[in-house]
Amino acid sequence: MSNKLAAACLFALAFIGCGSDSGSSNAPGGLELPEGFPSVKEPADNPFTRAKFNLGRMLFYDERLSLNQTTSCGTCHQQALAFTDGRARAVGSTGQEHPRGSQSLANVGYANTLTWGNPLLRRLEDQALVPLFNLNPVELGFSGREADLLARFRDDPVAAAMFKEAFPGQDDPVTLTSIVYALAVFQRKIISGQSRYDKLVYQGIPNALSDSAKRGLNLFFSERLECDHCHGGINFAAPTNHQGVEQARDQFENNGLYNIGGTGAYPSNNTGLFEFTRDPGDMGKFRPPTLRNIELTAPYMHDGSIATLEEVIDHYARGGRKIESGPLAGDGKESPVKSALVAGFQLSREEREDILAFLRSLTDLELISNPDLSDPSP
Amino acid sequence: MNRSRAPRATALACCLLASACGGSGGSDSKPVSLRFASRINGDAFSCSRPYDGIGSTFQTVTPIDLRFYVSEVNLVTADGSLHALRMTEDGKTQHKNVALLDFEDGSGTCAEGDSNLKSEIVGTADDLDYTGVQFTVGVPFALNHVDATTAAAPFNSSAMAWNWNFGFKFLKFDLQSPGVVDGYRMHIGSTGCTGNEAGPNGSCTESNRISVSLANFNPDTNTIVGEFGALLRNNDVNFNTPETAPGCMSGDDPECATIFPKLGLPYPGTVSAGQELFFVE
Repeated sequence: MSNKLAAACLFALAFIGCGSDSGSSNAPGGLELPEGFPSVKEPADNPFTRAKFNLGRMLFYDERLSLNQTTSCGTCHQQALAFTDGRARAVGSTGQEHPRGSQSLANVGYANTLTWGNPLLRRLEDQALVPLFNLNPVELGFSGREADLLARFRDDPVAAAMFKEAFPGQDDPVTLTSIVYALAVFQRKIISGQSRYDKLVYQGIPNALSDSAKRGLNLFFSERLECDHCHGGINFAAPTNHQGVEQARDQFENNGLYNIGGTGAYPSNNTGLFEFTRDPGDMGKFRPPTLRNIELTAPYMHDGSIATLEEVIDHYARGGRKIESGPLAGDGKESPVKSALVAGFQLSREEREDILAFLRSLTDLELISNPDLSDPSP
Repeated sequence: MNRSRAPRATALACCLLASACGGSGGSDSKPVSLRFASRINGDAFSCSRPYDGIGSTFQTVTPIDLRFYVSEVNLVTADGSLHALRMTEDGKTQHKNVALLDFEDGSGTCAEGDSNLKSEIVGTADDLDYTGVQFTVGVPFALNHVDATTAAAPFNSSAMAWNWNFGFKFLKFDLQSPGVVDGYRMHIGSTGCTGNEAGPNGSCTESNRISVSLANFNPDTNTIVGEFGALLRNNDVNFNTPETAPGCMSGDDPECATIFPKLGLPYPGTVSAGQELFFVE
């Protein structure tokens, strides 16, 4: 029987030295790659520059990015909550509720596909257009009004200068492309790799995890629980894309949350991958998100329908959720389209505590306080 | 070497004719415009007024938007043959034989647009007499999956881009009704689309392009009228199925069940006799 902890360490050690910036990665703040992390892939037409990063950071927290000037990216992606907002479902600038919750942007630069269940969105430059212009629901609210968005920045000498510095050599650098490119550069630097888990595995600090958390780590990677089959790799998520990887494979899974009518159906506004592929086998399939900082990002699942981590563990231990009555009634455990990896397992009380201790060790206090990623305006 | 005069004279005549035509390929062509009009229950679409009696419960609504893409335009001669309308490139509303018609002028309750209007498609076609017209409301697949921020107009409209789906809304007809706060919206576009973001390697299970074929149409004297209010006659525009997109936004949105058949589009459990939105006047 292999020691999963050792295996995890060896797996992680393979990455040490891959990061091109692994210098003072233990200093608070800064944008250097954490120890042991591979470099983020950048599109050839949008490499990192400090000027683009500064513009992207300004824009990320700027409420002028919403038509009614009430909301910014940072409203739904708050640094203190690992870039989530604590809601089951996000709410747009005009009060419309989104079917799904704001995802954590920690390590979003490594994601192979973006958002909960969309196989088409792969670049941050493309994803940013969705909240800017979406009508279902209205998020930032600029559909049809991009001229007004650009005028706001063109008419502001400070902002205009930042655009000029970020995109030199253009007659008019204040464009939609500039906005989404700058936002992407900023987001690619939202990297979380300073949790207690990282200190143990990548930085070699032996007592970074408690004994309980170490037992929880072993359980997490065990064949009995198989958590890492969906929440694996450096990001405890679907497969990551990084420099050195030709092309990560997509992963979308149905974890048995709903089984309306016994057909495996999910609520009609949250069918996941099925919405795109129309393949009945894809009903309710969503991208496994990162478990890093998971204790900060309640409530859980794509629609926030599981409130606590304890209940999440219980859900997986049971092998699917049973909704007793009402329009969403059904037993997800019996869903014909549930992933075979969500088979359920036996778990003692102590083991449940160990897993929770491990999950809490994935919290990165430096990410949530890194001044280089925070709102530049007071 | 002897050359007869006749061939030389013919060659000269052909040269003169070719220069007078101004068209390529040698056959005569002429300018052709297609005039469109949009109505809600018989009244012209305007951003500055309400409309009564809309939908199955006869609501009063105000307009938000009305725009749609037109492509694959063919004029039809009496013998039934098709002659393509070659749209004039104007750098703004017509590009690669796709036109974006625009009936909202950003005034009144139309808060998602600008002052530009476009109700006429301008181009050239073979110099013949026409008795019919065919066109598609939609963007051809090869052009439908482009980067809307860098594409040439009219493919750079944020209002018409379905960014999450990497394609365009072919038709955007949005109203404000009293009962649906988020707007009673009709967005028709391709759904069930997979493939990478470069587009052409993918496919969509529902094309949702609206095919229109109109007889008794003379481009010189007739107008193509779109009666948009009638599309909603079996919809209660004051009601939207909870937890679904406001109005009919394609896919399996239940409000589309009584709209898609009127556009000749497939929807599970329905049959269609073809589109009934456009007619000739």
